[in-house]
Amino acid sequence: MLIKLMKHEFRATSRIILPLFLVILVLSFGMSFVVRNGENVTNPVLETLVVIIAAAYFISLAAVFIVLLVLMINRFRSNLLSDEGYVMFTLPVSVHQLVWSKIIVSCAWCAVTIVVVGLSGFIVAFDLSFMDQFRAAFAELWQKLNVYYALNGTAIVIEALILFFVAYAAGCLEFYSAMAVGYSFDRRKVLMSVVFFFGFQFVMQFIASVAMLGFNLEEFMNNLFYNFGAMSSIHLFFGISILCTIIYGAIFYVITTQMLQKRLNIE
Amino acid sequence: MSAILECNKLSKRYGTVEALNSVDLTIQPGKIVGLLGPNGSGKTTLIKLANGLLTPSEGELLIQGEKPGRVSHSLVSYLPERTSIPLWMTVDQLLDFYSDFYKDFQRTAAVQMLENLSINTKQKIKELSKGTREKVQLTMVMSRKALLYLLDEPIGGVDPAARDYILNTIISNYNPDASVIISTHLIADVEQVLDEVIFISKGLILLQSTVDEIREEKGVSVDALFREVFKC
Repeated sequence: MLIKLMKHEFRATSRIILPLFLVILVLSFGMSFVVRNGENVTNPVLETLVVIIAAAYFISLAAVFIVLLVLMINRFRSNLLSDEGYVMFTLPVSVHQLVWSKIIVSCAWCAVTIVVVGLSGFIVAFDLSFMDQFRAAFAELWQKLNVYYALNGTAIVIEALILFFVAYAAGCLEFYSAMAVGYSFDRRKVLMSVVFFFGFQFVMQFIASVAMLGFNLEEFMNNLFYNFGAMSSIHLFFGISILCTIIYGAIFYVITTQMLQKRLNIE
Repeated sequence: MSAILECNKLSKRYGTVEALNSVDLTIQPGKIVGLLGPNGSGKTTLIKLANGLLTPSEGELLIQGEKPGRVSHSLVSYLPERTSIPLWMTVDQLLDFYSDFYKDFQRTAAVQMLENLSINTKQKIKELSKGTREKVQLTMVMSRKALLYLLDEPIGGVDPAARDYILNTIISNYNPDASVIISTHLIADVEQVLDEVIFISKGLILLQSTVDEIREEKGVSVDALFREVFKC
């Protein structure tokens, strides 16, 4: 059933985000032309066009991240907490499946967005000489790091990616939990959601600050380096960060699912 | 025969307001039941509780012996009082949606009903009129071979011709082993299709009786009895 929920979630969200990806890719080709020939353009009409294309390109890049955030929030609100909730919460699925389908699809769109933005950068900068130099320098650095520090670059990249997506999912859950609580009120649902979002932020930061009192990151890392060696320390550091982020997300997951199960109050 | 729906001392409070007050109720299979009461009497609260959209303050509600949840959702076909199908979908996508989630959904029957109503399945739901959207949702709900149909105000807000269509759809589509609960305050329109009625007021069940009993013993129609009981 989770797969079916995800299928319809992709269907609902792709109609908004896919056209935006298309716009970015089309503008990337325009931007690619601007980067290569922009300085040689003398015709005032073409000059204006160059400026417009460049502006549109950067706006579209910013817009895709904003749309990603708005879509993540709005799908949860409109699909689960507004009228559509009557259909969604009476499907033969669990609340956990409903929430997971939202998280997974949001993370998937985030991943696709990163790929599209990367592809767009490739289109814009493909075959430009400074990019070639950058690529060569990066490859050299990568190789040296791997050889000199016996650094397992692939493992670190995978760990960093896991941390990024766990953090993204935890971020989604922070928004979801604030809405799940805010929409359980009879009135001022949006206002209460905003209040709870900032309330949760405050509480979590307060707890983190208290927990970090007397904690010296530098000393902690030095101890790790001393006891486990440089490489193991980095892996351990990522492991601890991932674990902390999972706990952070799990708190909001429990709030979200409990509120949806016990205090659902659809408009 | 075991009850399809059973309420034991079921109460629901919203703050200090008692929406349902220690309700005991049993619905047997094969009946079309009218849940009748004035606005604010607790009809929608009872139906929402049966769908797991609310949790009881006290007591319990069971569907085929189970608390509302995944299992009961696969047995119950629910028409909410508000049109709640996703407006961004086309009717075809909505058919996919119901086929995906409900094993008992009869897609061919649904398509036939939509064709009878001259509804273009390629059209987006948001492009349809309010009345047509209601008909589309009712078509989806009645195209399931469910054990229990919970219809919350299915004829409120539609014209008399649409009312006839909706009632005909309910009678001709429901499975004889199943039960239908229709919540409404428009009694005269539904009386002809009902086997049983439940009168509800201020969260209390005032009466549960068959329509024949009311006619024979009290010598009045359900509509007349309703007007007498709920006289302002």
